[in-house]
Amino acid sequence: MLQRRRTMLLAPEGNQGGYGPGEMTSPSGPFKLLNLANEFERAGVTTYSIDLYTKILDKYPDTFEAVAARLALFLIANRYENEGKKETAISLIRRISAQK
Amino acid sequence: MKIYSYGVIDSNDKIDESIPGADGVRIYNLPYRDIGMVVSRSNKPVREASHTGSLGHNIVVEHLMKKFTVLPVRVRTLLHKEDIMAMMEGHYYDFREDLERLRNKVEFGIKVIWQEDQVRDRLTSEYGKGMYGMLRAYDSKGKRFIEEVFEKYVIEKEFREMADICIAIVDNFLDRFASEKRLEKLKGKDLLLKAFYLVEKGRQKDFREAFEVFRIAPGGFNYQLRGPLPPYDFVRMECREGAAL
Repeated sequence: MLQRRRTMLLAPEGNQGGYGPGEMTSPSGPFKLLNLANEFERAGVTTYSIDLYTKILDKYPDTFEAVAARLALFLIANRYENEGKKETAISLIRRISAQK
Repeated sequence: MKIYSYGVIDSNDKIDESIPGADGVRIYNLPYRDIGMVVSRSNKPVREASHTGSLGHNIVVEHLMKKFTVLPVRVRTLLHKEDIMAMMEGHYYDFREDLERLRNKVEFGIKVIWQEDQVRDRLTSEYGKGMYGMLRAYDSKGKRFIEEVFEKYVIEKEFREMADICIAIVDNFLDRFASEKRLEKLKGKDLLLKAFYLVEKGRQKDFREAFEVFRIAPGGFNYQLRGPLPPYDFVRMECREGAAL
């Protein structure tokens, strides 16, 4: 409902808010991604969640959602490391570090 | 007779040894069927509450945990003997069930601290970047007032939702080591999460090591760990009048 309310208040054209197409005026863009990523993570679909967390870092690096995504990726990397998947862990940490 | 109680244990045996933390006061087991309530005599008024003896109380309970499964009673609980016996009789099966559930388990408490104001500021500034924020400049005063109220509501909602996600991220990582948990969200200024995890004794080391990961984690949150502790937050005991101990 909030989303609808917001959409009603928004101008129809242009991407002036600094967000991607389709999410142009809503700060919920990165939030939605974060929420979805977290849902996937909790459901055990880690690869999808990594993709979404990474997307947040790429597209919305200066948001609080990016802070949360970075933490989530760091913890996933740690889990991979404990499971012996060191290369995947290192690659994830590199991705986080590249965005800092 | 006034009695100071420490907890229910899964044994009706006598306690013969001297227990540290009791300051030389004799501690004994009041048996009921196959369980017992560990107590000591007291001259203090019944049900007086104080923190003076909390350290000693915890030392006694922790010592008992080495030998027994304990349903710990909250610090400084003074009761009459007849209240204790009535409680043991009335809640025997609950105690048995709880003792089984808590067997070989300890409690860890964690706190996650964040800078609440910074998070709100950040969300507010992100919100203002949207087209909605830009349009506001052209609104009439009345409309603007309503929209400001609405904005506060939205920011607050997003703040709470953001808290939920951050909590889920932390909890996802620790949950795998716990058999039970209790999460308390936003219970104080800057306190994102206060959580209690019930962990098998054999997994304590794993839990601690997992927690250490947070100390080097990005995000700027502050993390605190307490434990292993007696499982105070995973039992609830009531005396005859129904008052929680």
